[in-house]
Amino acid sequence: MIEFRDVRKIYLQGTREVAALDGVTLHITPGGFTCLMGPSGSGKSTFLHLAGGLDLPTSGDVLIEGQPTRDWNDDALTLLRRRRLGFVFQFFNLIPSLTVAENVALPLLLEGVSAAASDLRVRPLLERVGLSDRSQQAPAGLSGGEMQRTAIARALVADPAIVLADEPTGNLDRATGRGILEILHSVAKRDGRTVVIVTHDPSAAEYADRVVRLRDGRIESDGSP
Amino acid sequence: MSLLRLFAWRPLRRRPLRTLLGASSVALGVALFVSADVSNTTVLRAFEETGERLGGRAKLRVTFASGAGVDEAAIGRIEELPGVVAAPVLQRSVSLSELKDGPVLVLGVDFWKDRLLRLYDFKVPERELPAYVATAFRSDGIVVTRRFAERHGLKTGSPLVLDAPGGRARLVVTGIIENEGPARIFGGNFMAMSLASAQKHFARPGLVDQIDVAPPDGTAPESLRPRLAAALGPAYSVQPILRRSAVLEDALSRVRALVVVSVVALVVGLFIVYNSVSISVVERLRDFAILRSVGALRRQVLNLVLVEWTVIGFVGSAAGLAAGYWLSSVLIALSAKSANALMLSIDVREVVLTLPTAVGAIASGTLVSFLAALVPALESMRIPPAGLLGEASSPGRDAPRYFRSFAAGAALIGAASALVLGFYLELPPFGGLAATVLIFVGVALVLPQMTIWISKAARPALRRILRIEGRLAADNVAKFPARTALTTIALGGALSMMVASQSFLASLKASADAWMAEAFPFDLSISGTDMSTQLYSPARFPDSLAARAAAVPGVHSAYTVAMHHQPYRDQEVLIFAIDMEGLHRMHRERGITGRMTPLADADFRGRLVRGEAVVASENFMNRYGAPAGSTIELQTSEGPRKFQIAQAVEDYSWPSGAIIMEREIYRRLWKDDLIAYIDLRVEPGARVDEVRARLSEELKGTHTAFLYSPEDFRRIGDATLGEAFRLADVQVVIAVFIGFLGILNTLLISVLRRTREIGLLRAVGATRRQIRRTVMIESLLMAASAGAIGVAAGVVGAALPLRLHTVQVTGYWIPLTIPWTWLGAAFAGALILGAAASILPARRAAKLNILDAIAYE
Repeated sequence: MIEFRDVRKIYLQGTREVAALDGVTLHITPGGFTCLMGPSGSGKSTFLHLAGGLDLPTSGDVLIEGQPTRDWNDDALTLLRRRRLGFVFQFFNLIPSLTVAENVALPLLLEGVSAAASDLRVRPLLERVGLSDRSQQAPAGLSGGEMQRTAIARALVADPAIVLADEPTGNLDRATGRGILEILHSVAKRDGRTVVIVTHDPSAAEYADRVVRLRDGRIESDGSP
Repeated sequence: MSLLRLFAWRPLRRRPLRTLLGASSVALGVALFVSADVSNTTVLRAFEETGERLGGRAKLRVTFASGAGVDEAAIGRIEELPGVVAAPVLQRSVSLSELKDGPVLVLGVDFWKDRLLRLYDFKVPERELPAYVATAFRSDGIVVTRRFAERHGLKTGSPLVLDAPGGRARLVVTGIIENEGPARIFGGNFMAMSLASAQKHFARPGLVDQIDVAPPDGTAPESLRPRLAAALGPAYSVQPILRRSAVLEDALSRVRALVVVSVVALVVGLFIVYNSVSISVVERLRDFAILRSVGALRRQVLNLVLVEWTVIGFVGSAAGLAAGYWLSSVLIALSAKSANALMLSIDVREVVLTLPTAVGAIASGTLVSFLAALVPALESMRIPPAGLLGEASSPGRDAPRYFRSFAAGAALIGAASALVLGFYLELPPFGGLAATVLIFVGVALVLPQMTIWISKAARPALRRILRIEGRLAADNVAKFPARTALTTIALGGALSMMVASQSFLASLKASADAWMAEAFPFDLSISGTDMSTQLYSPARFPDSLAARAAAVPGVHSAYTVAMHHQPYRDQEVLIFAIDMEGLHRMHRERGITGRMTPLADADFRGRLVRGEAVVASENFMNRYGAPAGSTIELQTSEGPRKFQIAQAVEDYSWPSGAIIMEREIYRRLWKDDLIAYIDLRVEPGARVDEVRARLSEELKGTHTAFLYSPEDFRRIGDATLGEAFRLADVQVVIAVFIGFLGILNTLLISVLRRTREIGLLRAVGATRRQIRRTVMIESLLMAASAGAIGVAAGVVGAALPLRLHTVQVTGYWIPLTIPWTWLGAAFAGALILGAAASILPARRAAKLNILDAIAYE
């Protein structure tokens, strides 16, 4: 599903080269709930960005569904994100001028799907995340947990095979965070999607099939929680 | 200083485009202001200097109140006043058909009297002067200026042919004046001859045009004026030499309108700087918070922003001053050309930039920048450092509402409408421009709330037609409605000026064309005026020339027209004295239509022919409140005469008003036998161009005559109107450019403010093309609104304030003609500008790095 083959990602800090990922090789199989953990600066977010086609490796290969991302142009990667991947961000990233339903429908709207057709997809998702009664509300009126549930619904609306979440509980209180993790867990287990989350939250490991720990851009450990 | 270098200069260098946009918008506003003010000052100064150089010591001018020549004997009565110096002058601007050097001002003078008023430098020792003058002012001699002589390779003894009413006068250059006094005006196109010689060549025996008078030393001209008037009696008019004509006022009023445009441009500049400062402050909030948390005072941080943008404003203002100075030379040339086309009165030698203008321009531009920076700087300083350093996790707020601004704007528009209505009801006039400014400000206040409403209403349609990009673009324009509104009004205002000016031009052309089509029954008109340089000149023909022209094979009939500048209520109106029976015959042969119908009435014609009545132009009626049926008094050579206005007709001959009367009456009362035009009709079946060639051949031996068809008059009229409106074109180009900068600035800021949102859109699958399309649609929405406002406000502006302003200045009441092509062009132009302005911001948006954008605060 997602495969990293000896991936290095170098960033320039001034004139100094810093390896965010340093020879990472990893294979994430379909349908699992993988948790990427590690201290700040260990390379977790870089891993997620490369896995989501938001960035390209300096060397090595990142393969999504068997295709190396470096072979794809910007449009192809964009369409991949739109159709096959779902993203959940720490800071929700909802568009304030759109309603909750429109925010959820965004990938479909970008695809040119009609309002009526997208509505058929959005309604059950909002029901699933418990926001049916909030569908016509603006994001400004939602709580942090509701915003993140909206973001999860948006990540699922295009029926993606892979859902990537970057610190999805990082901006929420503990109880709300657990609720978000339970939804993501059900996305993996009930829907059979591949879920990869990057987190500091140790409680996330309780939901994961697999926990990969990174340190200084390398895999420190990889196994069951 | 180091704080400034670190936190002001470096960010400015990092964002050169924003800095440049801010500085150039101030520069453009200042440039427009400077160019308008400098043009106005220069044209006025040139008019005064031209008058002073020509007048010399003379401060008053005595003319016959009828405008006809003054009897030379009057000079004796003037000289009886102690200490008064007086000199008779016969003055003509003539063309030199052989030298082709534009019109030349010729003065017929009594040299020994005239030299007491005017400076003539012949570079001749005083003791040799009598002998020199005796030769220079001999009967076949003419004195030219050094510049004119050098330009045409003339020397003493060279032949010179002058076009005069009696035919071509073959003269000899008998003297050369150095470049002093009157020799410095009109680029050296000045000549002098003896009074007797001028009277002979210009067919004014025993008459002079004016007597120029210098008061005794220490006596103010104004105190001499009543004494002089009392000594001469009511038949004479005594006026200051520097009296502004309606023609000059008309040209100046167009220049002054630029000042209003420049104020609008400065307001738009203020808004652009405000936008730039806002975003530059928002970008550096974190820097400022760090500065505050390590001990910087609010005042220090505030000063940082203010100094930075005040300096930018100062630099922009200085650049604007230079640009304005350059632009003014273009405007001055256009103003002088349009004024001189009607009356040779302005000779611009240097562009006058006064110290108060320069200081005022730089101060106002700098102040505008300072004020624009003050609000965002103060706002940012109110936020505590902890708030600035905190993470922003809120998704934002709803768009604000602008109900109070809407109500205030609606009230202003209402007030403007009442003002316009006031004009119609003939309440005290405040000026069409006041109504324009009120409407402009009113629309600016109404528009933010309108933007929110329109955006809301348009969303479903945009979503259907342009998919999610259309929906997002509609949201974006309503996110900062005040900014959108100001951007729209800036471009819309500029376009409205273009539409208004073109609507007005089209209306004038349509009216003038319709007038000429009906009023001109002839196939050809013979005139002594070269209309490529001047529409009216004193060139005249003897009456006998009409018979010669009528005898040319192919000519069917002819009538004659005399023309005379008649002083009337401190202005000069134009008298057209026409052979009414001849005019009527020609109209009857062609078929009388429209406004000429009353001529068919023998009784009406009879009253004109008998001199009981005259016809007045509509602008005469409007300017002087003289409707049909009223009686006016005109000074004639036989004293004041009353004439009833039989009818007011549409006539665009002269901005101060025209009177049409029977030529025989004019000849008798004004004692003027000369004619200005011979209007001809060709034989049925004869070719006009062949007759034209035969007439040229017949006249070329004796007279410099120009032949014009009605079509030529139409073309010349259109070209002259076009020239007069070129000033408006210049201002429109600049205003449209400022509007373009406004859209560009707003879009750049919009993209910057939505960086995170754009990053998100890209992350969830928006292609670069979709992002570009969103920005472009946003731009096109603003541009289309601006186009709609421009078209609507332009037509309304032309129909109401501009038309009313013209009525005030010239008395012309022009029926509105809507230039549909220009309306289409304005709207299409707005869309093209919108598309062009979106290119850079759209590219920036599409190129954003997704990860950086998502992390952007």
